[in-house]
Amino acid sequence: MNLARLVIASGAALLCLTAAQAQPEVPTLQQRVTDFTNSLTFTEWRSLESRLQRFEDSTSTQIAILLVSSLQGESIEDFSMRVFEKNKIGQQQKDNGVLVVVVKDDRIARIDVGYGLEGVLTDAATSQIIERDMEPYFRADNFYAGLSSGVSSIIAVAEGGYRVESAGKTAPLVSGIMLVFFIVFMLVFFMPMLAARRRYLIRSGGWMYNSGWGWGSGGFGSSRGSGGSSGGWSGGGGMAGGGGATGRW
Amino acid sequence: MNRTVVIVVAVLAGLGLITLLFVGWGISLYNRIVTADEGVKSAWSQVENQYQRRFDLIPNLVETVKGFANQEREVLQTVTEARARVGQLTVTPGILNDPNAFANFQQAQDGLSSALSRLLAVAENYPTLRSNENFLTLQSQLEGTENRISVERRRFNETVQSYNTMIRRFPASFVSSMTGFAEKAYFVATAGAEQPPKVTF
Repeated sequence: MNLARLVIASGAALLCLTAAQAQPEVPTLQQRVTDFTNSLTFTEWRSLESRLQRFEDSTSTQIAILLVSSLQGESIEDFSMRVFEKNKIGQQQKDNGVLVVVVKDDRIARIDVGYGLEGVLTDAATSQIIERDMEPYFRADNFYAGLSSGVSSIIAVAEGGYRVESAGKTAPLVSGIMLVFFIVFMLVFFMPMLAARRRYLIRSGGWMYNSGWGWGSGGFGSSRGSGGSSGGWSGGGGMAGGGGATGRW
Repeated sequence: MNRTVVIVVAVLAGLGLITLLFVGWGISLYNRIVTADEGVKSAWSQVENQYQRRFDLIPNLVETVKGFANQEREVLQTVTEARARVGQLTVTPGILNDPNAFANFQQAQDGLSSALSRLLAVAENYPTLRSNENFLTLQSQLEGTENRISVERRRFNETVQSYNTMIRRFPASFVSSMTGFAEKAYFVATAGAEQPPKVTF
């Protein structure tokens, strides 16, 4: 009797939990440009991606673009902050990341700016970029042109912000020794943990792998360039505090 | 005789060791609580910074709106008064341990939030104002700041939550009650305050 009640109660609790998770799942970004809406052709995707890559190579500033169809009622500020926090766009310490989120069906877009770029990419600047460079094209459903001109402006403004630090500031020998120590340390302390974790991952199988993809109406196969040339991109550990702007079209 | 001495020494050494371990454990717990406490303070200073930033933006905004919509005296007055109320608050570091002062702080800031969102809503009715460069800049700064406030408030709440959980769980609760670390207050969501003022064109 009691047990049956418990089972029913926990079942109900589980249902409530799933109902409360109506928020869209936050994707793990594996490219600089992630399109869940099929708005970009492969060539367009590649052109944006390679421009962002060149910019990142020369300044270390990371710019990421995410296109989704709908946020199911969540505010774009909350969603984009969750994306930023999960993917940690920008370099650690420098916090020089920029995230552009375009929600196609909700007709709303947002630029989020990492702490380190707030001085150059101010709220007013991002607001202008959205309004003047992106929205006119978005209104005409030309998402590539909007993103392309938006990216040009962001790059132009953010250009003065950061430079890639010249490599080899520390003497190579010292850093070599440090590296050896580090590797030994990692081996001794973390191997057992890693082994345990791998077992866990295998046990929970495909679910872990899928978590970044099974999202939105686009779903698994539709994301542009999932097997593309610059796969394996990820954020560098940057943080943001809600700076930036939102615009509707 | 000799054996007794050995036994006594051994027992004393054992007791000493146990005391030492116990004290060491207490100290390390205490240090962890101190670290968590500092985390809360730094999260709080972020919140304060953003509120200060908003506070500083308002006079400019009010002046600009006045230039175009002076007949909205009542709305402008509300904003100025709400800002003055925030200015009167004396915020000391002790506010985190004083639920009443914290509630007052939040009430005053939330009052300012709603006054501001009303001002921005009213500004919608004035096309010349809406196309004014200066106003647009201030508006986007204000919106950005409201969003920063809500981000830092959430992070503050998360930090406080982990701090409160830490000092209330069993072994640490013992140390925290001895050393006077108390639970800290959270921000509570109020209607309208969480959302940055939305303006649709």
